[in-house]
Amino acid sequence: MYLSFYITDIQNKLVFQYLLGATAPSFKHLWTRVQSTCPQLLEDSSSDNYLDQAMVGKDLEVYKYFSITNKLNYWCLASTSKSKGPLDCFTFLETMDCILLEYFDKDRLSIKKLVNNYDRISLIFNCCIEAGEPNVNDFLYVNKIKEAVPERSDLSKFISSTAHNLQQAVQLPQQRQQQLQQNQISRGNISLVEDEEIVPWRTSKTSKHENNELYVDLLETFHVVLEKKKSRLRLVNGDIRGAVDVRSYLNDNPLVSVRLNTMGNEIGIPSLHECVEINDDDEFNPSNITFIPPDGKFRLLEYSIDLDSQLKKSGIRMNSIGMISVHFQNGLGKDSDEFELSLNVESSKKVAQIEDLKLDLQFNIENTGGSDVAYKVKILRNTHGRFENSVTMGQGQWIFDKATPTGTIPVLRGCIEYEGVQPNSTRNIDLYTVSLDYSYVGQSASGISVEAIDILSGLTIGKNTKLYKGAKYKTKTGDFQVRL
Amino acid sequence: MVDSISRIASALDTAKVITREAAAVATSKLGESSYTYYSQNINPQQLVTLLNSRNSREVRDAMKRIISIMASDDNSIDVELYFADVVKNITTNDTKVKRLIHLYLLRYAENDPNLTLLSINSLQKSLSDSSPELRCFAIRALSDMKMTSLAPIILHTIKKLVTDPSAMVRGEVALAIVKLYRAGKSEYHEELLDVLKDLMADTDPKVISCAILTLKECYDDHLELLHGHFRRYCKVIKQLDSWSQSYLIEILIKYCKQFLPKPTVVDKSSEGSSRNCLLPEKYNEIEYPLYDVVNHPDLDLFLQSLNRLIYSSKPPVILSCCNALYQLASPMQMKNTKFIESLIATLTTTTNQGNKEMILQAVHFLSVLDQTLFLPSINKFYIFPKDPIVVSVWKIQILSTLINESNVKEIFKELKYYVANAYLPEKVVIMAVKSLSQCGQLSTGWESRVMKWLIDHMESHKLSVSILDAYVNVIRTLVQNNPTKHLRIIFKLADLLTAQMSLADNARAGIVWLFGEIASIEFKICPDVLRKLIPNFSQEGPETRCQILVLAAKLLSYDIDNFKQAQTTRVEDAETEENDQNHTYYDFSSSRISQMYNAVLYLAKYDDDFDIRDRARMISSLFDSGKYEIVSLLLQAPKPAARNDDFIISLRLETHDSKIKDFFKMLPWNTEIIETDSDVRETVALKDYNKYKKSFSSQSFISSNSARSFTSSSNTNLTGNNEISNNGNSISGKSNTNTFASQDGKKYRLQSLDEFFSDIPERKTKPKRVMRVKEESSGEDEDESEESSDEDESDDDGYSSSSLETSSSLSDD
Repeated sequence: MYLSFYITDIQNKLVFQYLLGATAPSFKHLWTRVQSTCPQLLEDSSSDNYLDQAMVGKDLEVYKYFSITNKLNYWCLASTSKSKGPLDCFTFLETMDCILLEYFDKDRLSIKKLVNNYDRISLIFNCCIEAGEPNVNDFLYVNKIKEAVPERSDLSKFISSTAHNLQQAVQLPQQRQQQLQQNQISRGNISLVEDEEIVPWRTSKTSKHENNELYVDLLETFHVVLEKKKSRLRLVNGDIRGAVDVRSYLNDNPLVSVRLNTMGNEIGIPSLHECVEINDDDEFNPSNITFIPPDGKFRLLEYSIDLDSQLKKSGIRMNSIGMISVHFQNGLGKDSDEFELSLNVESSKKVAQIEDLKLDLQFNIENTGGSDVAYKVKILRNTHGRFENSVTMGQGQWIFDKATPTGTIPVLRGCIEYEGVQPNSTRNIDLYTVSLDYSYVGQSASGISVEAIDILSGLTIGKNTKLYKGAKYKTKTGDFQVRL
Repeated sequence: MVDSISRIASALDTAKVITREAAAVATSKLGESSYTYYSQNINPQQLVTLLNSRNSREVRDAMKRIISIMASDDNSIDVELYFADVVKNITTNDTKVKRLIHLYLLRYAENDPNLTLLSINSLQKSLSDSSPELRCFAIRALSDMKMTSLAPIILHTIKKLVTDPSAMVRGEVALAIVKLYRAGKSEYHEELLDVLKDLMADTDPKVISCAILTLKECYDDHLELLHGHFRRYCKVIKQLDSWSQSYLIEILIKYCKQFLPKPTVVDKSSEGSSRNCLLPEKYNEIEYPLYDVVNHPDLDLFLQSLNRLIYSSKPPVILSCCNALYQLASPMQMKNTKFIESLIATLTTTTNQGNKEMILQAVHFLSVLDQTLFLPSINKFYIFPKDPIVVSVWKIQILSTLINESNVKEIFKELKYYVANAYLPEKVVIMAVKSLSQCGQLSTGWESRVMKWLIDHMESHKLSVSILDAYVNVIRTLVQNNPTKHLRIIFKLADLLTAQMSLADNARAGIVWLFGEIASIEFKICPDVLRKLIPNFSQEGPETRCQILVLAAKLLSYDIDNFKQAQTTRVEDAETEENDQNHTYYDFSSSRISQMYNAVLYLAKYDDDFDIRDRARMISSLFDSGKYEIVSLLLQAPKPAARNDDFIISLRLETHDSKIKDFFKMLPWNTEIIETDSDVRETVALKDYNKYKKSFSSQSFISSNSARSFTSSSNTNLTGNNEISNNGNSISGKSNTNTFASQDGKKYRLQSLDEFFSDIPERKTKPKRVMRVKEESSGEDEDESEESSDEDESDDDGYSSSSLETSSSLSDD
């Protein structure tokens, strides 16, 4: 049973709290308690003492969930119960994070947004938690929450929509008359089903949209570790994690079909939004996903592609992934203390530029046989960006500009200068691993693409309402490391 | 008219560009932030005025302010002081204010029960409001007040609203039961149970979801309630709320263990053999290499129904499904479903740190029991550079459970990389070292390979103290297993001791200790090791000095024993049966070992460290007293072979969380199931409120969509009680009956009228339980009269006017 919820920023300063009863402690009280009983809870996840759950009293547990998108910590205080599954609390906190994002229809929640909407957020929490448990009475659907807690109609939205309406009225005065009539007729029809929900995640009562819009975003993050074997690269382990996010602003109750072209990738067992229709005996088919979309933003499916097994099956050697391939060589130059690192950014029609490219270089200082060697990495030639030596020993960063055009071959050549050591004595500091960090828009790492977005039925499109559809691709690196 | 509009519009059109820009400014001035600014400046006096205002807008502002104060943990204003002013506003027509007051009451009602009573009347009035949302809100607000004096009123309300036409309200009733149950007062429990029985028989998935929560929270020992619903719930599980899905799975696991017979395992390894046995209590203990499992049909039904949840996006559901397979099925069945794959996919995609750790622990738990489950996905447990420590450590632990002959080469290579990587956190490296010992335990060949690599690495790299400790621990473990086979390694260690003075204290101490243990097997090399150690005694670290002392004592003790042994054999040869007295005594002065011992003892007696001085005194007094038996008991006690779990890096990182243990706790099968002739799981009568719903909309798009398995046409007039079966046994036989989707897109089974009427059970125990059929064309209901007496009130209000319109318009078609 949940007793209270708190949202804090990264520094663990309270942003919002929701207490379920007179006995629930305020954040200040909880804070002192946590500090005395389990300070590990307050640590960062990179620390090895880090905890995300702990007992803070008899039958009282605290759980913590860090939302990566919002940079907020969600906390909850719950009473211990045997019947609670090990994932329940974390999942619920994550769900709350999603609900808030979907409710405000934002990509990121700012603290200001939370502060400005204390009343609304309190009501949202109130909807989602009933009897100290997640409200299973369909109140975890954002459409239901929106019904109970109406959104504020923003003044800016109001102004722009009025202007838009009037503009249309000017441009198409006659048509508008007809459409108005048509609208009335069609609205008459709609009202028959309006009160009846067709699916729990969609209410016909939801706000009418100016235009019918349906956008599909494909976001892929790839995690790859490659190993240099002679001149070739070999995959050690890797996967691509993809998510299909949909933003749907459609009137009525349309049945939508999205067709994905997997380009031969095995997407395993994806997790689907419950709106996706699958017959009991059928397997999920990515080339035909049909669903009645919830209104607004939602995650349609999440998949992961296991590159290892895929490569084993196909027998293809993987040399590059995600537009960039890396080559590096040690032991160049006459003293063989130079290294060269070159990237090959493929040219592509779909992708114009690579964003925020950054390389982390690690040198194996361990090989010095236990003795401390003073040395310095000196850059001899650098075609793009700048090189920075890191504070920690044996690391450096090659940082590119905000955007790097595709179709280029950046090269970095440097040497290691040993200080106060005779040449020939120890020359075993090499470039050891290279990690890349970047993102680009326009293509997915796996090549998966949206083939078609169709609205199969259920949408009445008047003459003045247009239908906008679109797909967007974004690829990000999660882990991309090349080992020597 | 059009003309004038166009003129105004064109003016506005040019203005549009400006307004767009202005809008951005306007939001900052007139938008949320400015409102917040205004709101923050409301002072306590104004707050009272606003709360008492007749203008609903002002009341709303005041309530928003109060909620903001509560949400921000702001202590400057004590909002509890406004209790009366807040509560009296409950009569407002503004639903938002009502909800805000509810929030306020939720927090403060307990503190001031008398004033809270002011709001009861108004809430009770709302219970018979025409809007289901408001009724829902009212029962919710009432049941949220944790006051004992209110309990009878809430009970009454629950009983009244359990037959409400709106599914939402009925669902809320189920949740109110939870609250009332928790409030204590066991005298209500029986009555509430009756209400719950009604709710469980509901046809609406929403209500079932809520009823399951109630069952789980309050009546989880009343599993017999599920008898009549078991089969139906298995079928509708996909339509329930995702939280209820995982609750239901956990409840049904218990149910199956309690009421269903244990599955039988049939041997299939050799043809013609008909051996069979019951499914073992513990997982993965079936002795046949190939087998089939014969389940009770109901258990099959449950396990099959899980397959529908495989694409669930909620990790708890996937984990519960895995638990069900773990508890109720054989390893083979588990592998045949794709839940393991699904669990790994969840693990890969989740960004929820807490969940990730828990799933990793669960994987580890299962992998220890049956490594074959996760063998195909071994690569998934290689660590990524950005994995947090906790995740990396668990991944490596899972890897070490998966090591076998065929993959050891690959894993060893990967682990070596982790161990040699200077940039990985220390704990991860230590864990990788520890897993190397797991590689070594595979065979003697691997044992020496691992040790050789570790020693080489130890020689050539500068390592931190705790990592060295782990190295020595692993070497010790591996050497101890089979010392005679690793003499070369032992020699190498001896070299290391003399050659590498820079080796950390703890590592040297560990190696010295090891020689003390090896002395029992290979005595010859040990004195030499000790001899080489003595000259540098004073340069050694405290731990090593202590171990050198112990080594010297051990060697002396062994030497004395050897001497005695030789004596005895000699004595036996001489066939003199006289006692010990005849023995020549061990010659301390001429023995080299004794001399070395004395030298060490001498050094140790003047050591800085008091611990070493104490030990030196203790050991010397032992030897001086001449009780060599005690000495050998003390010093030569065989050490148990070190197991991997003996050296634990961090308890937190290596033990399963208690929740995982509880979750996967194997429940015992009930062996005393009373067999009865009648089928206990025969489906009982349902409560169907579909007559309140509007009938099929003519516009229903679902009809055109084959994906919803809409096999029969939507024009069928009968919306029957779904899922009532003629007799419970014929699960498979029913598959040919029609299914269709109702307007909410869920699948229901069509029943013929004959089927339906034949189904009215003669032994109907509760006459109150009413089944309804609605024929849309006629709109008549046979049970109307009986029903209306129950709920005249809601009948009047319950039909919203629009729904009446709908049915009439349809009957016109």
